[in-house]
Formats: sequence, C-alpha cells, structure tokens
Amino acid sequence: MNELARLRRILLSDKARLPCGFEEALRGDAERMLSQYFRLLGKAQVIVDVDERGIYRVSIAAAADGIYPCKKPNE
Amino acid sequence: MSNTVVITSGKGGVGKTTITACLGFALAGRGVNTLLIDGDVGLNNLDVALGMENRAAYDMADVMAGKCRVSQAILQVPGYPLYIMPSAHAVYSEQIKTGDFRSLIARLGGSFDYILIDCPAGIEGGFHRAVSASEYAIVVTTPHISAVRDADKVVTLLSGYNLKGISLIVNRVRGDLLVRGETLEPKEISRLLRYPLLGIVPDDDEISAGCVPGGGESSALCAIDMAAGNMLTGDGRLYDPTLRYRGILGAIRSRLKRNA
Repeated sequence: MNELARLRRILLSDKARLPCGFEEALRGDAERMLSQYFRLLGKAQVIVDVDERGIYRVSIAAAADGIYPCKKPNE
Repeated sequence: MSNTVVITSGKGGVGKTTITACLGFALAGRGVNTLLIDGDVGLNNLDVALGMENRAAYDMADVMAGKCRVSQAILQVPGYPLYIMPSAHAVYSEQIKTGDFRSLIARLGGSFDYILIDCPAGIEGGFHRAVSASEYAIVVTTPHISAVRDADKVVTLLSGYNLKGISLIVNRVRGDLLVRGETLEPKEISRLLRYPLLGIVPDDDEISAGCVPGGGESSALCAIDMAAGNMLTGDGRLYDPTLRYRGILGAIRSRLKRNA
C-alpha cells in the first residue's frame, strides 16, 4: 500500500470512530422526530458509515404500524 | 480593522513558528503593517525565530495584568513594518484567559493590517484561546502521515468555529521525493483535508538551520513569499518544489541529496 492509500485509510477510520454517545443521541432524536408522524414499533436503527471520499452516509430505519394525521400549521 | 489569522497545526514540530515569522516578514516586505503574537504561552519561541530574543521588557501577560501599556509590550523588527508581542515565558498557559486574549486582539485590531497568532501545538486550551480570537486559520502540516492526520483533526475542530476561511500550508516538502513519488503530494493532502492550499514550502536547510528570515533568499522564503501574496490577492500561486529535480541535472541533484 502506498503512502496516500495508507493516509486515506487512517483518516477514514478516524472519521468512522464516532464520539461516545453520538449514535445513541442521534437515534433518540430521530425516534422523537419520527414518532410525531408514525406509530413506531420498537427502536429505530441508525447506521453511520464513511465512504472512500470521507462523506458520511447515514441510514435510519424504523418500523411503524400506523401514521398520525398531519397537523395544520395553525393548529 | 485588521485581518486576524491563527497559524496552527495540531502536531508540534511542523514549522508553525518559523512559518509565522517568515509570513510576517513576507507581508511586511510588501508594506503590510503586521503584528505577530506568540500564542504559545509558557513555551514561546517566536521572538527567537525573529532574532528578537531578550529585547522585550514587557510581554503579553504584563499587558493583561495592567503592568504596562500595550505599546510597551510591542517591539518593532528593525527595517520592517513588522511588530511582535512576545508572550510570557514565566507564566503558565492557563493564566491567560480566553476572554482577555480576545479583548486584547480586538483592541490591537485597529492598528495593524494583519495580526498573525502563532498557536501552540495541540488542541487544548491554548488552541481554543488562539482560534477563538481569530477570523482566519492557516493549518501547517508536513507531508507525513502523522502530521496530516493531526491536521485533519484540527480542521475538523476549526470547522466548528466561526472562521471566515481555513487554508493549508504544506511545509518541508522534498522535491526529490515528490519526483520519485515517494512522498505525499501537497495537492492530494489538500483534497483529503478539503481545504485549499495557501502554500507549498520546500524542505530547506537554510530555514532548518534556524536562520533569521528576511536576511536572504532561499527556496523556502520564496515559497512563503508566494503564500503571503496569496493571502493578499487570493492568486493561488504555489511553489513547485520539483523544479530543481527535473531533467538530467535534476536527477543528479536528486541522487546527491539521497546520498547526502
């Protein structure tokens, strides 16, 4: 592996290492937001990944068995 | 109002203080009224890099303690519109509060075109103090994996501050290794860190030997002068460290350098 590839790998692995509690906080916020629209079944699943360009890819998956009616802005 | 620029790196020993001193000389050489502030409280060496050691009667800590006027703690480098406010060697970094430092920089802002702050190594209190008083940041790194990794950490932290701009200087670039593809390309480093290059500074024995800048011509000083020009005009001119190592003569130079 040349120097550049090694550096890229190190930087990506540094970025992929999320701060302590980060994923839990993100899951909590995502669930709070989603539960205003959906009747959630269990916990949401959060996956944070980093691609080869250093871009974060965030996937949030959740299951729901119903939706809540939309509130109008003046309600 | 002046432009306040922090020169930082994360990793120690990459040439921050030397770059600060040389940029100061380069800006002043273009007639820009420049103040250099040693933000490395307790481990200050900017005065040494400028050849101004032991000339200060007062320092930054004295100003903050009200022991002297601001003007008494500022020294002019002879022959240049270049000034330095040394920091205290005898006090601990924690004794200089971030708010006081920021107020001092704000007070000085009206008197200079550029204020360059030499940031301490690391990402602790001294880093925060220097960055929070600045509008722009220059991150200095060398083309070594450990230095670039620390620079990446620093630019991530800097992106959380309200800065107007962040740019990179890659220092100690060896043209012979670049030609042979044995070192990281500065442009690749810039691409990975996602910030533009302000300068590429070649490895230069004259600078490494601790020569006081402003006193001669060298490839490193020429490269830093280009970086100073980029600060003023935004031209984006970069020094090419490989020029000396191209062609037959370049190959001979490269071999001699390797065997040296």
